[in-house]
Amino acid sequence: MIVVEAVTHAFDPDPPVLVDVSVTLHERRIGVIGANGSGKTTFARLLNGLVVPTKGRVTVDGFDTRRQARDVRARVGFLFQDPDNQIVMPLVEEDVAFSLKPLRLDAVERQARVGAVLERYGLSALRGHPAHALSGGQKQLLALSSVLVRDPAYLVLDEPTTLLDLKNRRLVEQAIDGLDATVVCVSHDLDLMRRFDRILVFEAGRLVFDGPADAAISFYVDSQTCC
Amino acid sequence: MSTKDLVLVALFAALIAVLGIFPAITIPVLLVPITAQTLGVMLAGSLLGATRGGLAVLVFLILVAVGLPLLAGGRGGLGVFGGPSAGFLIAWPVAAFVIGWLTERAWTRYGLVTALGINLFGGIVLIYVPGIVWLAAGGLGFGQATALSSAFVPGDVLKAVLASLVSVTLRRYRQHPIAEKRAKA
Amino acid sequence: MLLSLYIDGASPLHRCPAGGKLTLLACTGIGIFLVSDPAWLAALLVVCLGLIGVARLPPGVVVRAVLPFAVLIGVFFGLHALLSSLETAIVIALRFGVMVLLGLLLAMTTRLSALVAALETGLAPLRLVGVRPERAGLVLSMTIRFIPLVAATYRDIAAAQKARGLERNVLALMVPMLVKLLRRADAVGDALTARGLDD
Repeated sequence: MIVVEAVTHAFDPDPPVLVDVSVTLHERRIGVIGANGSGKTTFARLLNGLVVPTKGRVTVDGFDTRRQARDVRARVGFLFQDPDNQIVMPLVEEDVAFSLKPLRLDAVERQARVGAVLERYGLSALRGHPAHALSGGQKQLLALSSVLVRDPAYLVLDEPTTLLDLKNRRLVEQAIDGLDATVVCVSHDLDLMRRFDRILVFEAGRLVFDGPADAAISFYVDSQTCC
Repeated sequence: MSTKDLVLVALFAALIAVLGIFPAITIPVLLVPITAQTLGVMLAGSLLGATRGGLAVLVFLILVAVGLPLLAGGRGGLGVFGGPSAGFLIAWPVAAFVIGWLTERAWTRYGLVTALGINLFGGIVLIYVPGIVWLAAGGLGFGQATALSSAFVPGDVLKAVLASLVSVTLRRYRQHPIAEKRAKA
Repeated sequence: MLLSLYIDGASPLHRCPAGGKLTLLACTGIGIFLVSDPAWLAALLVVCLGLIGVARLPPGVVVRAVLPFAVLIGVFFGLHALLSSLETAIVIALRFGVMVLLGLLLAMTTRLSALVAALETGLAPLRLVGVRPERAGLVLSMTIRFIPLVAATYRDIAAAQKARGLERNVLALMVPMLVKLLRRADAVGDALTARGLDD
């Protein structure tokens, strides 16, 4: 369970990007929508401690993101919009194995876990390939594999399909659908959100709607229609 | 050094490599082909400061030494450090370090003139002196070595101007990594 | 863009540990300056050519990799032959040739990842002066990963500025290039933190 308590956050010296947000997240699939600049990316970053709130607090299974960042990050994986910023090793299998480094596993177990996750996302044949030779969708799947190899209980996704074409978008959406972890997904992709259990709508830093997908999406579309 | 510092070091080492792949500047007046890699050395020092800048160049040279063909013209391998231009190469990380050190020292009154002075000193004097000494020691003699090297000076002066302009511009845009580092300290 | 010169194979040279090859290369690189007898240097050159045969490297690929050095060797051979003596010229050309071939042998028979791992091991003594070898290994790996990325950024910006008619303005290329690079540094730093790999 992720608990966000009375969080206000400002990037000094600018005005706050999130204002008094309180929410408890325990559903399997949670969507976050809002216009550009609505604070949804900052909200996503709160959840694994990338952003520590100026006021209020965020806890994941009881661990505070301010003081227990390490425990929080072991539970909450994070997938960014641009996989090129997330992949740091030259070869596909090296990047996945790199995620396991802090766990100090022996070589056999490490290889087994890397192999299993690559198999699951259809990257086995590419394991010895350089990351830059992959397609956009394959890169995002690699970034996802590198996160999931640590078996996080929660996965926060920040616009994971924005940079992808339709075919690659489907590929990544399928992968997200099949995840065991609790998913919190920030996206403009309303079709993806339709299948979610709960949607949060942000506007100007405030949580303005919180409810089931259909109601939330109609609320959002109405609020965004101009004139 | 923070994780982000490590990332900056790697990105600038990669930049130096990329500047060797692309012919960034071609000046028809000069017959000598000009590589943009020393521009990368000056930028690493001017933008990252002493430690990170010097390390970025060192990382680049380590990758060259183990055989990546990253020097202009696709050269790499330990051979280049035994070759005639070794003196110049070995001077690169020192030059980046000194450029960075001077830039950090001069930060509060850093402008185009200061930047240019620093880059001309670090990027030309500090690189040519060991470069020419090594060439001369190889049996050429100082006169010949100096004459041979001087053909590259005009190009390097242009690069120093460019590196200084870039550094001063980024400082004005408040995007300069040295400013960020000072803000944190 | 081909960063690694590695050519897959199963020769004894391919199977040698990367660290051993690297050490041997470094020792030869220093030791060769103590040798100034052209006959010995020529013998070394023949040994190198023999090793290329042992590694079963395709001659065409080797020749293409040697070519960028050939011009430089030629120029310096000519200069030394004219300005110092023919013997000095031969010694310098042979020394350089041996180093170039040995370097290529290492690069063509060793995977990049094995080289980085060997360097990481080799840097272990630096722990005493506060350098953490695993961080050095990370920086080397990240550099290899970033080179194609930075090259793509360079091409994108060059194309964009050309479309605006600014292809001759080097400043219009370098400033956005560096701004992009610095933004990427922030994003990659965040991603490493999010992955829990930032200690």
